[in-house]
Amino acid sequence: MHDLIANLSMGFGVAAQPYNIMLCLIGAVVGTLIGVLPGIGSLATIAMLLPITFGLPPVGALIMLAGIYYGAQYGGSTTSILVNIPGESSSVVTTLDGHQMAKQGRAGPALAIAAIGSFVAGCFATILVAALGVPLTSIALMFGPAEYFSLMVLGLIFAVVLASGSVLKALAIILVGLLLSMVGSDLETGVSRMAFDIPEMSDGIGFVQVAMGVFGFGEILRNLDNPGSRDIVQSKVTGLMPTIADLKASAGAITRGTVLGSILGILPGGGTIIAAFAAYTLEKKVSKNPERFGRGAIEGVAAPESANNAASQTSFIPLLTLGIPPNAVMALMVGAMTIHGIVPGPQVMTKQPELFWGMIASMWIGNLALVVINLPMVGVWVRLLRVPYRLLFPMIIIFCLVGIYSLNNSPFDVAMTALFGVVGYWLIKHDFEPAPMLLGMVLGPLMEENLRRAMLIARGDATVFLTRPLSASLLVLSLILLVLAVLPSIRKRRDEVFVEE
Amino acid sequence: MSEGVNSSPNAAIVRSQEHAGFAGGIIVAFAVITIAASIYNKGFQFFGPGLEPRVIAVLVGALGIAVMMRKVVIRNEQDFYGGLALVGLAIVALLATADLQGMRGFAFGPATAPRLFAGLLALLGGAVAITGLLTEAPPLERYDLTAPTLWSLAYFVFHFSEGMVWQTLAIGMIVLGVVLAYLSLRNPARRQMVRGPIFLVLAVLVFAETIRPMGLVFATFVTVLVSALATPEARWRETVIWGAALTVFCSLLFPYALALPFMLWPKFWY
Repeated sequence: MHDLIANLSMGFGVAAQPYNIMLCLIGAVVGTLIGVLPGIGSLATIAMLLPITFGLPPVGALIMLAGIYYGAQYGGSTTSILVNIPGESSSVVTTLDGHQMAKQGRAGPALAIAAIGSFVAGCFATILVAALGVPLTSIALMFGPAEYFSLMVLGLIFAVVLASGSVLKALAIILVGLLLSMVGSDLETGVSRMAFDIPEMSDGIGFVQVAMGVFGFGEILRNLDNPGSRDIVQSKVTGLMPTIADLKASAGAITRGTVLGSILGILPGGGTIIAAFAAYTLEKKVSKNPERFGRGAIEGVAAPESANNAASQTSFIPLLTLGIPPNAVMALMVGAMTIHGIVPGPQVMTKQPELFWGMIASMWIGNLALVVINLPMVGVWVRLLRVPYRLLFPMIIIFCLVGIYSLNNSPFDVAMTALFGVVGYWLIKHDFEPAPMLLGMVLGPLMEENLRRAMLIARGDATVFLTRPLSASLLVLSLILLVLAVLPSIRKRRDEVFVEE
Repeated sequence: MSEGVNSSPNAAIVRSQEHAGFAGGIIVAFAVITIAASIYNKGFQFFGPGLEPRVIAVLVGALGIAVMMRKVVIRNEQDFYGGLALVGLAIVALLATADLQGMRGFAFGPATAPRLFAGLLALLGGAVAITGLLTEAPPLERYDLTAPTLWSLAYFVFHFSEGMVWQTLAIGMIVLGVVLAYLSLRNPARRQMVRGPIFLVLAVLVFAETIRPMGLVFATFVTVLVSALATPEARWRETVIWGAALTVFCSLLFPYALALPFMLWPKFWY
C-alpha cells in the first residue's frame, strides 16, 4: 500500500509537469474532435492521430496517446447521444437511452452524466491498474516462452470469441494478420521473407499504414456508400448540469457499471463492448421499472458509459504488465511504443518506472481533462456535427496522408495505405471483422519469437506446450472457450448480445 | 446497390448461377497462373519445393471448374468468395516462402512459421469457402474494386521492378484501370458504387506521386480536389475554396507547428 502511494505520487510528479499536462489536454481535445465525427471510432481516431505524437519524447507521446484515447471514447458517446450514430461499437448502447434523452431536450444532462460516469470509473480504474500492476508483473516474470506463446493464443481466442460474427472467419482473419506481420526480415537470420525484392518491404509492412488504410479509409469508403440523412438534435443544448434527482438515480448505475467494466476490461478481446452491453443489461435487471429503458432513462446512459471507460482503462493492465495487447486499440498502443523504442512488457515497470507510473497518472488527468474541457465545449462539438461530410472526409484524408508520409518521408508508405484501404473495404463487404487482423499483426512477431524459443529449448518437442502446467492450462482454457463459442446454444445468446449493433 | 426488394435467400443463388461462368473462370485463371508461375520460377521442376501451394492451387482450380460447370451452388457469396480469397493469399505466401530455409534440425528456419500459418490459413479459408456452399445468406452487397486494386498494385510494380516487361505491365494495368473506371463512371447503374473507391484511391496515389517532386502545397491541394470527387455531392467552387484552406492549414501545421521536415514547393523552385 505504501509502495502504491509512493509509486502513484511519482507518476503524478511526471504527469503533472506542465508540458505533459498540456500534451494530455491537447490529446483529449483533439481525440474528442476526431472521435465526434460520426462513423469514426476510437481505433480509427488513434490511427489517424498517431503520427502527430512521433516528434515527442516517449513519455509525452504515450501520455498524449492516452489522452487521445479517452477523448475519442468520449467523442464517440457525444455522437451517440446527439446524432444517434454510435461513434464506435462500445457506445452503441448509449444511443438507446442517450438519444431519447436528447430528443426530450435533455442532451445536456445526458452528456454530463456520461462524462461524470466516465470520470468516476476512470478514478477507480486508475487505482486498480496501479494496484494490480506490481503483482501481475511478478507473475509475468515467471513466464517462459512456452507460457507466453500459450497466453497469446488465449488472447487471440478471446478476441475471436468476444468479437461479433463467425468464429471461423475471425480465426482466419487473425491468421492473415499473423502472416502480414511476417513480411520483412526474419529477426534471427536476417533473411528477407515475402518481401518481393522491394527494399522498403524489408522492414516489414508498417502497422500504422495498415491501421490507417483498413480502419481510416475503409470506414470513409463505407460512409460514402450510405450517405443516409443524419438525425441531429437541432435544439440548442441547454441546461448542462444534471439535477440532484438525476445524480441520485445514476449513482448506483455508475458504481455497478464501474465494477463490471473494470473486471471485463482485464479480459482480452473486445472488453469495452461487452462491458457496455453487460452494464446496460444489468441495470435493466436491477431497475424497479425496467420499461423506462429505451425511453430516456438516465441510468441507461450512466451505466454503459462508466463501464466502457473503466474497461478501456483496465485493458491497459495486460499491456503494461504482460506486454500483450488485449484488443486492437491496445495493439495500436504497442505500435506507438515500439516506434518510440519501448518494448511493452514487465520490464517497462522496472526499467522505466517514470514512464509506467506517469502513464497511469496521466489516465486520471486525461479523465479530469475530459470533464473540465469537454463539457463546456459541447456546443462546439454540436456545430462540428453539422459540417457536411463532403467537406469532412477530404480533410481527414489529407491529414492521414501527411501523417503517414511524415513517418519515414516515404511515398511508398502512402501507396501502401491505398492498398490497405481497398483491403479494408473488401473485408467489410465480405463481413470479416478487421480488428482481429490488427491484433494478429501486432502479436505475430512476439508469437513467432516465443514459439521458436520454446521449441528450441524443448529440442524440437512440440509437446512442451502441454507438459508445462501453466502453458497447458492456458491452452486448455483457449480450447474450452473456442468450443463454447461454437456451441449452438451459446452462439445464439452471443448473437443476441450483438443484435443491437 | 443492395437488392433490397428481392433479397430472399434465393436471390443469391439465382445471381450466383448467372455469374457462375465468369466467377469460376476467374478462380481457374488464378489457379493456372499461380501454378505456371511457380513451375516457371523453379526451372520447370514439377516436384520438390513449392509442391504444397501447387496442390492447393489445383484444388482451388478444381473448385473453380465445378463452379463454371454449375456443379456447386453458391448459397452464401460473402463467405464463398471471402474464403477463397484467403486461400489465394495463403498460396501466395507459400509460394513466396518456397525458396527459404525451413526447419534445420529442431531449430525453426525463417520460413517455418510463415508456412505454418499460411497452411492453417489455407485450411480455415477453405472451411469458410465451404460454409459458403452450405449456408444461405442474402446476396453480397455489390462492389467493384477492380480499378483501385489495379492502380495501387501498379504503383508497386512500376516503382519497384526492373525491366521492360514489368514496366509495360504496370502501364498496362494503369491504362486498363483507367478504361474500366471510365466505363463504370459513365454507366449510371454503376456510378454510385464505384465512385468512392476510385477517387479515394486515386487521391492517395496522386499524393504519393506528387509529394516528392512537387512539394506539400501542390500535393495537398490536388489531393483534396481529387478526393472530393468521391461523393456526388461535391461542388466545384466550394471544393476549390476548401482545398485552398486545407492547403494553407497543412503548410502551417506540419512544417512549422509540428516541425516536421516538409518541402513546401516543387523541387525546381529551389
